[in-house]
Amino acid sequence: MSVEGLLHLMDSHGVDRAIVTSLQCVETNPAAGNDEAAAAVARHPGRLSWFCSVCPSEDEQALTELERAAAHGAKGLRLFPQHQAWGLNTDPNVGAVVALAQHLGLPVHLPLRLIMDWSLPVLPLHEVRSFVGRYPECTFILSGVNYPEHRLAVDILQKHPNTLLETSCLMGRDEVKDLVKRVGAERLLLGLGLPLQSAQAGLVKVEKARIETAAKELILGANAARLLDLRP
Amino acid sequence: VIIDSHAHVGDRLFFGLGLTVAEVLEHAAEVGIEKMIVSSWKALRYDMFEGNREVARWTKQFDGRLYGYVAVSSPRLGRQALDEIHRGLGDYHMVGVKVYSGEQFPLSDPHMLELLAHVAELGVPVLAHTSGRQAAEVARQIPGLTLIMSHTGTTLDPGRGDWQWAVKAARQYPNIYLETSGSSPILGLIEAAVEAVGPDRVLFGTDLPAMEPHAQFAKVTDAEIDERSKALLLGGNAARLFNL
Repeated sequence: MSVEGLLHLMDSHGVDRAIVTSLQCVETNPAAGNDEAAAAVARHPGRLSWFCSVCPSEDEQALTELERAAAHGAKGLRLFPQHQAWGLNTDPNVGAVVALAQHLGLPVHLPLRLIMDWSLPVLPLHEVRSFVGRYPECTFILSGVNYPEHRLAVDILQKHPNTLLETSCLMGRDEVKDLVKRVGAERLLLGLGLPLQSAQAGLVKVEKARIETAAKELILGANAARLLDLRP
Repeated sequence: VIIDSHAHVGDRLFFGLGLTVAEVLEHAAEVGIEKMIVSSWKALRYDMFEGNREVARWTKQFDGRLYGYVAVSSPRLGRQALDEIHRGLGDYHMVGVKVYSGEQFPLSDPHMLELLAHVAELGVPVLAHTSGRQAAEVARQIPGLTLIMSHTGTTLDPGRGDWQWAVKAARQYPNIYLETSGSSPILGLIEAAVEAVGPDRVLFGTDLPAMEPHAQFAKVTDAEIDERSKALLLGGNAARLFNL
């Protein structure tokens, strides 16, 4: 889908801003994907922001690319170990990548799966638990969590205050309500998985959740605006 | 009338799903669901006699709002399973049959095929948790069976998320129907299903109490299909198929 198609979907569902990453980053060419995302954001700075991605197994090149992306306005870093054959807890360069992201003030986003599709490779949540515990000063965003991972995700958020959770793959009844109760609304970020998932299905999970209006406002935008320093 | 063709009631040790029947109905009512066709997880995975008996009690208690599937825990129970289906459709006034399959126990298991052939003779629909590949095999072998593929193949097991195979199977075999509930809110899935098989063979479901009903409902209401098609998916097809 084109950037204009994405903007149309956002318009038709009342979404003011989206954080995007290019799918080129996942399995082909992170640098080209970062350029693509930066270019899209440059054309629509009021509607889009972007997270860059690097592949730690590219060693020094990954660090150079991360610095370049941050200089071009990336708001965060997404990592895809399950698609790139490196280990979250074993890669010798990933520590340097996280340290640099932290130095640059970028949160690190760890999607367990790209979207909620059972055919996709999965980053095991127990690996994420070990990983985020090693870098308590870095801010991590977990996503791709569905019902099999719900309890462990809650445990991670409760034990590691440096973690937040993005909602795009939650599909269980009352999952948002349960998360608000257990970890607090300030730790949750709306995610829709556009343009691969239904925007409305993603929005109503929060809008119709049995939680306070103030909690909904945090999840629907205020938390992301604060975390990523997004301005209207 | 909005009809949920796929929901559950009764005990289930799974993500804290132990809602009462009244609570399940309350969640359904929030999105405007007026009728639900439900099966018992206990009947599917533990004791079909006890589970189906419970559903019969609840459908009587919530008459006109709750309808039952006779759930069969294993086709290898042979005669007992067939007798239970007759009991469910007769004594319990249930409107269909629910079966579960996985990679280890496929829908094309010879015992299951025998059972499904019998159900086809009875003329009631079967809601099957299965994959596109398995559904196609069964639909080919038993053309008289009305087979509703729960989740349109988006399941972890045995569907592996392959909804496109499921849609293709339904396009090839006119006795396959597609049901919309599931974990994967894939943009364009409902549209692809309707385009492939027409609006008459797609049924709305929530999988309550497991899934978030608002999101399941939104998948259909926000789909780019015409209003007549939405009305069929949301209730018209189920009313016709189950004679509600």
